[in-house]
Amino acid sequence: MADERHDQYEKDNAPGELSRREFVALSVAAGLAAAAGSAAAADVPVTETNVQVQTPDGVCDAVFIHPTTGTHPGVLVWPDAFGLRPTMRDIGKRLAAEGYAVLIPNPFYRVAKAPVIDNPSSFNFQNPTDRAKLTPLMGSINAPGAAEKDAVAFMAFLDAQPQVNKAQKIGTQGYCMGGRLVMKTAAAVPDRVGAGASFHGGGLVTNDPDSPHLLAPQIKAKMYFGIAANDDMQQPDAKDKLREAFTAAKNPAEIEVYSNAQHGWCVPDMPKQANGEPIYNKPDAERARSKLVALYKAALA
Amino acid sequence: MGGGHQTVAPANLIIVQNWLEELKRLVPPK
Repeated sequence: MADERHDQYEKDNAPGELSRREFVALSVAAGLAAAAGSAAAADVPVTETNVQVQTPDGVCDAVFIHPTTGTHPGVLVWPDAFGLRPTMRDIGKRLAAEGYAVLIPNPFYRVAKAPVIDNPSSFNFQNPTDRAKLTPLMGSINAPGAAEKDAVAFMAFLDAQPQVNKAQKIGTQGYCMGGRLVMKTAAAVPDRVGAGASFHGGGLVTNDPDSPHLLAPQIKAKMYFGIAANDDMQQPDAKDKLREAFTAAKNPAEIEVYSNAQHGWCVPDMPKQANGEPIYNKPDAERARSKLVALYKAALA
Repeated sequence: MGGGHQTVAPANLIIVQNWLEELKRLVPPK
C-alpha cells in the first residue's frame, strides 16, 4: 500500500510539478492574529499565528496556536463545513492552553481563503442557495487524494515547529466533515498519528469502496467517535459498522451516541435548528471535549 | 475560551522540507 501510495504521488507530481522542484521556504507566517475577544480561563499563555502551509496543491492558509513556552504534542484540527473561522480558533486556543500545539487549516484553500462563510450562525441548511455555497468547498477537500496529501503537509508543518515535541504522537480531531478527514489523516500517516477524534462526523460509513470505515486496518491511532442523536437515527448501523471495523483491526474504538445532541452540537457558532432551538449544546459539548482531552492525555503521552 | 494571556507572535519564516521527502519520512516505503 505504501509503495502504491508513493508511486501515485510520484505520478501526481509529474516532472515540473512540486516533487521535481526543490521547494523550500514553504510556510510563511502570513500575518498576526489578534486575540479573538473570547478570552477566559486559560491554563497557560498561548500564542496564535496565522501561517501558510505549502501542499502539493497550493498554499493553505491556517492558524497555529501553541503555549507560549515549551514543547508540546501537536494536534491537527479539521474544521466542519464552515471552515476556519473565529469559533474554530477559540476551540484551538482552549486546547492549546492545556498544553498542545494546534494547527487548524482552512480545508478549502484550493478554492477560497478563510473565512468562507461570513456568518455561520445565520446559515440556513434548508435554503438551497446557502447549501450550494458549500458544494464546491467540500468538493475540493473531498476529492480523491486531497486530504491525504494535506495530511502529510500538515504533519510536516507541525514537525518543523520548535513548539512541537516530535517524540510524542500527534492528535487529530474533526467536526462534521472533519470527522471523515480525521480518519483519512490517521490512515495516511499511521505511524505519526496517535489519536483521532470525530465529533458529529459525516460520511464515516458509506457503501462506497472508499468509505472511511474501511480504512480501519490502516489506522494505528486510538479513535473516539461522538455521534449525534439525529445522525444515529438517520443511519443507525453506522456505529455498529465502525465498531466492527476497528475491532476487526484489533484497534477497538470508543464510540458514543449523544442522545440529547444534534449534528453540530460541539461548535458554538452553529445556526439554530429548524425548531428554533440551538444546535450547540454546551453540556454535551463539554462532555465531548473532556473525552477528547482524556484521549489525548492517554494516547499522546 | 482559552487564550486569556495570549501573546502575538512575531512574523517568521517557517521552512518545510520537500513534500515527497516528508512523505517518505512519515510513511516509509515498505
